Amino acid sequence: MPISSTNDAGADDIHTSLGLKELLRGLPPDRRHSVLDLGPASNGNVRFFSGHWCRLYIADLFRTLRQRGLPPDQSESFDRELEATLPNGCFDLILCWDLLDYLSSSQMKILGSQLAKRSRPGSRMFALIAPHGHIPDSPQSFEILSAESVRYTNNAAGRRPAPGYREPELNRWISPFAVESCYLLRHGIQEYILVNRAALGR
Amino acid sequence: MPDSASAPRTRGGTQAATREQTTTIGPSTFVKGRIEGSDDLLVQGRLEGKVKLPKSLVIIASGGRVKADIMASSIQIEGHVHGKLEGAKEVVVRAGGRVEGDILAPRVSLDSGAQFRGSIDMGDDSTPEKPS
Repeated sequence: MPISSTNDAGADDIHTSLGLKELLRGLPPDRRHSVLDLGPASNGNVRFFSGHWCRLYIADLFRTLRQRGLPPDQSESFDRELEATLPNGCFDLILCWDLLDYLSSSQMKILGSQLAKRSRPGSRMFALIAPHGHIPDSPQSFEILSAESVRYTNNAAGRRPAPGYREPELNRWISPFAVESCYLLRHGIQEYILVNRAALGR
Repeated sequence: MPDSASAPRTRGGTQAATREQTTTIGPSTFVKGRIEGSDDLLVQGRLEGKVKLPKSLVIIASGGRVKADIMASSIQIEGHVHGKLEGAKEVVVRAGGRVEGDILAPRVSLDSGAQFRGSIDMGDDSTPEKPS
């Protein structure tokens, strides 16, 4: 199956989302939500979450780390950079988008640990994984158009093979988050909803 | 002072305050300190400190570099800002604008090509708007 998220640089595609609605349903109704978007700022996402009772934090994580010239696979420095870059807070919802496809297993472990410190028990994470094929050289931009559709924008000129992460690997590496549900989309991308396992008493 | 929303805001191809009472910090000017009052403010140079203009429009032009907390009626950013932005009406980050800090306003708009890191708060703790 072709993966159409590998569109040309600057091009964008609109894709159906099956997981977003499910993700939003899990937000606690009795208090204000705290949402952490690890991707770059998007007016659509701001507009979308303005219709909900929440505070939105935008980390623009990949660009920020890249601007700081992070050595790609040095655990200590990655941990230090994440500690300095991620906002402090206690988040109900974390939008990871396709970031995990650009991290090694050790980086994913560190990210999971840092996000666990900044999330509530039962907090959910939304991630997009390419199970095969090729992905853009750097993470895409994602704009929520509705609870059921998302615009993908590729800002990279080149492509590279997708690492092809699977559910067992995600569970092992992004712990204490664990896969709660997974949706295979028509364009070949898998949407994952992960939950902070602390809420499950494990 | 006329309502800022009705005032024309284009001059020489860039957005700028055109009301009669506008304080301009020019491209070669550096201001450090606290700015208060009721005039609009256009920053083309550098500014560090605090800005409290609760009834005014504040524009950070494309060459403007600001390290300050800003409280205004409306805030428009085409340059770089580091600080907390509080807009009674709105905060707009235009293409090419870069903001690192927290935004508090009932309406926030990020144009395509704008960069932002921080939190956006458009609500009120006491008035929940439940998802439809």
